[in-house]
This record gives sequence, C-alpha cells and structure tokens, in this order.
Amino acid sequence: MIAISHLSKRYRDVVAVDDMTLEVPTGSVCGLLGRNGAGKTTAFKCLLGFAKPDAGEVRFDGEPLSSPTFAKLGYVPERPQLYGWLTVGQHLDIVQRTQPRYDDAFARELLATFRLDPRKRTRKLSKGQQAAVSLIVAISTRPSLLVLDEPASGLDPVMQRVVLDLLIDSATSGATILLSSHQIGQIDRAADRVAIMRDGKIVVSGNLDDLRAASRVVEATFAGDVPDLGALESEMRIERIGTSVRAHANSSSDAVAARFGALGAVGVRVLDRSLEDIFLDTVDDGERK
Amino acid sequence: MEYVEILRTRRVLFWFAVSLLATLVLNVLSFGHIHSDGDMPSHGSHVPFSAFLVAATVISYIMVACVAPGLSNESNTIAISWTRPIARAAIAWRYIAVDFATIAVCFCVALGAILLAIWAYGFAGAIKMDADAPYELALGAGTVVMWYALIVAASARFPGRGGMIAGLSWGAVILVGGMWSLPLPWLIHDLITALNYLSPLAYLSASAGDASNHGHHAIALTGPWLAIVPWCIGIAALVAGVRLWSTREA
Repeated sequence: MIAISHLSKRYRDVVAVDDMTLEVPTGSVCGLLGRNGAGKTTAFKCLLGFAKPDAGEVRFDGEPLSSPTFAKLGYVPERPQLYGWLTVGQHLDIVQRTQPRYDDAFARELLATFRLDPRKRTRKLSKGQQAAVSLIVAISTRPSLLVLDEPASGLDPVMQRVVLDLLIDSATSGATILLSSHQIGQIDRAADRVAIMRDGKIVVSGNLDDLRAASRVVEATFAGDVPDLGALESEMRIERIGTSVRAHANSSSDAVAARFGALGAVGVRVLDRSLEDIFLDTVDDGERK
Repeated sequence: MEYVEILRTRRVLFWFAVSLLATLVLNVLSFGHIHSDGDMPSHGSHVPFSAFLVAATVISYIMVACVAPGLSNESNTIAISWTRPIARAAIAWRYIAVDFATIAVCFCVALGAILLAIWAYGFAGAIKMDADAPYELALGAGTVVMWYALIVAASARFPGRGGMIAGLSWGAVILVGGMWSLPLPWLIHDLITALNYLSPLAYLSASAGDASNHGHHAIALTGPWLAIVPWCIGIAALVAGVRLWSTREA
C-alpha cells in the first residue's frame, strides 16, 4: 500500500503540492491525472525522496521511505534517465549488481518483448526504446510497489498496450501501482482507482467505477421549448442544446430523470460518463472558479 | 553505482594510457634522433627520485579533473542511482573509492612511464633515491585528495556541471597562482593568499622552494604541516561534498 498524507511542497512562492492525501491499496492501480504543472511530478519526487516535502508523510506498506524500500520499489521517470554510453545489457548488469530481487529471465523476456538488442548503446535507441529500457530497469525486479511517471510516453500504440498489460499483470500479482499519464485512455484501461490533481491539490479521487456512477448525465428531450426547470437549475450544472437539456446529475440521476419526466420530456436518457469527461469537467470547474 | 564508475574510469584510464604511451614513444624517438650522433649529455649530475614523484603527481591532476565530475554527473540518472537499496552517502563513498583507485593507478602508470623514458634515454643511473621521497609522496597525495574533494564539493549542488567546474578549477589554480606575485591592494592580496591554500600547485611550489621567490610562497607552511594541511582540507571537503550530494533535491 502507498499512503500519502497531507503532503505539501512549496518552491518559493509556488505551491507545487498542496495538502495531498491519497491511498493506493495493495494490488491496486491508481492513475494520477492532471494538467501540466498540476504537481504530479513534484508529488512523485516527494514520494521517492528526491525532494523534501515541507509537510506530510509517505508510507510504503506502512513504513516510511528508507534505502531498503527501494528493494521492492520500482520507478519509471517522466523522461528516460539512462547512461547513454552504456549498452542496454550493461543497464541490466547495474540492476543485477544492486537489486537483490532482480529476475534475469524476466528481464531477458522483456527485452525480447520490446525487441531490444542488449548490445546496443542506449543513446542510439529511439525515444520509445529508451522508455522501454527505463521500464525494464524498473520492473525487472518484480517490485511490489511501482511508481510510474508517464510510463508509455514515446511508445508506439502496440508497445503502449504491452506496457499497460504488464502493469495490469503486476497488479494482479499483488503489486501496488501509482502511475501518471496524460493519455486518459491508458488510465481508463489500466487503473481501478483515479486521482485528479489541480493546482497541487487532489480534487477528485476514488474508485473509477464509483466515480463514473457518481457523475452521470441525464439527457432530456422536449417536444417544444425547454420548460422552466425550476430548482434543477440551481442544484446542478445544466446545458441547453436546442430542445434538449443535459443535467450533470451525478449520483441522483434516477431522481433527475423522474423530474424531467414530470416536466413533460418526450425522451430521457441516463448516460455514463467517460473518465475523459470527468477529468475535463474537474479541470474546467477549477478554471471557472 | 560504483559499477558505472568502474566502467567510466576504465574508459578514462584506457585513453590516458594510450595518450601517455604515444607521448612516450614520440619523446623517445625524437630524443634518439637528436642524439643519434652519440652526443649524449653529461651524466655527472643526479636527479632525485622525489622529482619524479612530483611529476607523476602533476600528471595525476589531469586524472582528477577527469574523474571528479562523475558524482555530479550522476544527477542525470538518479532514477537509477537513487533508487537502489543503498544509502546515498554509501553510493557516494563507493564512487569516491573507485575514483581514488583510478587516480592511484594513473599515478603509478605515469611514474612508470617517466622512469621508462629516463631508462630509454640512458639516464637510469642518474636517479638517486632521496630522503624527501616519502614526504613528497604524502604531500602529492594530499594535494590530489584536496583538489578532487574541492571539485566534488563545489559541484555537489550543481547537478551535471561537474565537468565545467573541473575545467574552471584549472583556470582558477593558474590564476590565483599568478595573481599572488602581483602588486595588488592588501585586501585582494590577502584573499588571493587564502585562495592559494586551496591550490594544489601552490603546495608543490612551496615544497620545491622556488628560488625565484626568494623563499617567499603564498603558503606560509613548512615541514610536515605542508603535507598535513591539504589532507585536512581534502577530507573536510569530501565529507561536505558527500553530505551536499546525498541531501540535495532533484
């Protein structure tokens, strides 16, 4: 389990992470979403001890971060950090010499999956291949805790799918995974939990299915002009499109559908919302405020 | 990540050895060509062995500038180096141990090359083991440790700038050495004098007792203190450098 409580980090006048609290249960994949500059990478740096938080604490399986934690923790940075003058195989040698849980057979299997030549120097690899090496370095120890900052960045769609499958497999085997990505589809596919950051704060977090269920839209179509919606207007966000109305009903979708029926709607639909809709709404709300 | 540093220094040592060998061969060949008529210089004078130790020390300074930036340059790969189950300070000390071993090898290779050249010139008999040799060895090693440590400490909070700082340190050493003999206002002169205590060349110069300075040197130390002070500065700078490096933020 990864437990972050009241984590804050400030750089002079800029609050990069603001009272962040988040729990990722064991065996869970949590996707961290947010616009550029929302504080995701800084939060990861605080998590891993690369930056000192001004307040708060992080616990991995109940223990604060220490050197031995890294025997069970894998990290994939936003941009691959490799020794350009070393070969792919030498990078694996580094892991083998420093990580007691290194699994050479698994690492070789991953090299084959990503079609990487272990004799090639990493500076000669494409950006996507470097990202793949970075991922192999992190997961070749079969870590029980994984922190990934844009792990599939630069990979082609086929390899992105491979990475996501690897993460899902790891979580199925009991690994706890926290990953960030700008590609919401990746989070939607791999994660069972989501947290959305805005201006350094976690503004939405929870189980993905619960979030979807709690953010439904009720679409009503009227035969003529849309009638006066009364209290609904003040209770929730309403969008008018011609003779149709979309109400962001969240968890009260059934009740709102009934109220539209009572107002004479000729058609009422309850729509599940995509993670992208939830994310955009959350970010838009922040900008409107 | 001493494994990475071993690979890095192995590469540096290889090119150092190639350069040294090429210099040696060219030197011996040109010497043989110049003196092919048998007009060899007189063999009456002796050359103290400590002079060769000083020469090898100066060559080792080149290696110091090559390997000292390694720790600072690790900042580009902290996703690998700082995510090992080893304390960061331990990583740094292992790095430093590899670097010192490399410098020691460089010193031995340089000394061997110099002695080989002397033998090739036919002056092997002129080498005289003198009582100053152990002292010069201790002094030279102290200045090497001091310069290495100062580069590590200065670059610890400037990730990836170790190479630039090592390069600038050469310029700084030559500059403060040259400025000390200039007629400058006393405050600046005192500042330059103080900076000379951080210059390895100033210690070697003081040890040599340069006659042109009439016994006056930027460093007002004599005897064992001349060898002890750079060791003390070096160890203090190393401890500070490791502390700064291992506690810095990425």
